[in-house]
Amino acid sequence: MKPIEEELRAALRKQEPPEGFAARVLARVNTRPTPQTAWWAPLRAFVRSPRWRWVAAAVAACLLLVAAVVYHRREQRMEAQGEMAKAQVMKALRIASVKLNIARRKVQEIDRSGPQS
Amino acid sequence: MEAALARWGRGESSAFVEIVREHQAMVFSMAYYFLHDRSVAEEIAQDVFLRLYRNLAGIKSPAHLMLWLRKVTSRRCIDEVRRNPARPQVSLEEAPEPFDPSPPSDPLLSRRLRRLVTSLPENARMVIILRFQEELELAEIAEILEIPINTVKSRLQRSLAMLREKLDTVLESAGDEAD
Amino acid sequence: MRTDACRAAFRTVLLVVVAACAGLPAYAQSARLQITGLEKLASKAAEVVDVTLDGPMLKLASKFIAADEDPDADKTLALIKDLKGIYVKSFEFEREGEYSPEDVEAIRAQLHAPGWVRIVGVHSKRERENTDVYLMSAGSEKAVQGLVIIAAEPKELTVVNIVGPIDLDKLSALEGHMGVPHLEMEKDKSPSKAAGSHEEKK
Repeated sequence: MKPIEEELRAALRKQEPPEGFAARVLARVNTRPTPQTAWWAPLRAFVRSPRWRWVAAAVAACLLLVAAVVYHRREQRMEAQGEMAKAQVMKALRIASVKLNIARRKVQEIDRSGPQS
Repeated sequence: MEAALARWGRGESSAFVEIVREHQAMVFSMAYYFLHDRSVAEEIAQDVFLRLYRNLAGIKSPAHLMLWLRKVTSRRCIDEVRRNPARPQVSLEEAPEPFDPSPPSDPLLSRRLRRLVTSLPENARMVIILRFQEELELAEIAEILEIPINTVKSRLQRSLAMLREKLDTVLESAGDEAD
Repeated sequence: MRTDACRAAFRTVLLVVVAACAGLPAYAQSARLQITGLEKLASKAAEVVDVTLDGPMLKLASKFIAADEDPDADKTLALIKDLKGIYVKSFEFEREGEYSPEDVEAIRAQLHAPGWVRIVGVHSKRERENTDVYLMSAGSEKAVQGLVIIAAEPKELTVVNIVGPIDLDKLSALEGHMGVPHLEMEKDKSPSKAAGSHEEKK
């Protein structure tokens, strides 16, 4: 027996398809829409190509980057808003506290001066 | 083939028939040895050429055409098996072999080998077909199947070992029956 | 003649009531005042403080105050914990007479609504300083639900509206902490100065 490689070459020798194959292909071609009508075909071919993986990876990386930038900016904005809100609270409480104490002290002064007068 | 592509580029639709006739044996045989069903193999081969018709404008050279046809045929065959895992395999004993003008060294052995090839896992099966039907180098197979060359190498070695072992078993049992 | 005067007076009262009611519905049940009519003062004022902090902004501010390393931050946090809003409008003018008492009438009108009680009213004729403190209480325990301070000085007008349970002692005690200046008014002012003041307590 010859080596198995030789036997495989012999066994897997090319075979012609049944008679009239090309004619049948042409018949199907003529009943199908022309390449111009299949506008999505290049897109589909692209999606199936190995290049697509790189494009998808690049798009995913870009999206991640954009998301990170958006998140960072949002955090910065929140921090600025928070600091501003804190400053406003302190300012409002300061005014309220001072005005309240002015009124209190005046009442105390009047209370004290009342019996004397 | 370059001339046919050039004619297609000039808008001569008859060039497509020439391309089909030139490559129909390769596409059909790949599908047939993979699936062992002549009608399904023809259906797949027709699909591959229909796709080629739609994408022919993007084919740059005869080498590109060969790569494209082998790639699409392999993928279409593997998809077909995955889509219909329960497709009944036609018994080689029952299936009439087509007329082969160049007789193999041992017709019975070839028939058995083809049957054993069909029993291999689908990825390994396509490696064997591309290697021994198409006589491709490992790097070319790797490019078609989009797998690393080392994977092709290991699949090929494992498949050949498996085929050798199975063939020995088949031949031994056939010898015992003859005795 | 007398009938005409009565009709005119009735018409005026009716208009005031209608105007007051139109501005009130959304705020009638809450301690939130509609601080309107003061916008025109902003152009005349040398300094304007306009603070509008509602629930979400107060929550955000609380987070940042909590992160503050100031040891008094806890006092501030306790003070604003359950508040629903803080609204302040303060105008400081370079000259006297830039605003009139009528400018705050729309605000005072809202304080006639049920629930509001004036707890302090200090009116100093000599210094021409008027400070009114109003509280809104609710429930059987008369829990404080809101505070309004209207402080009118010759060159300054301030309206403070705090919505929610506010502890006046804690607010008062904030002076001298967290950047709130401590005013030594008692020491600065002699009893004779306060003698010209008219005081109301409720």
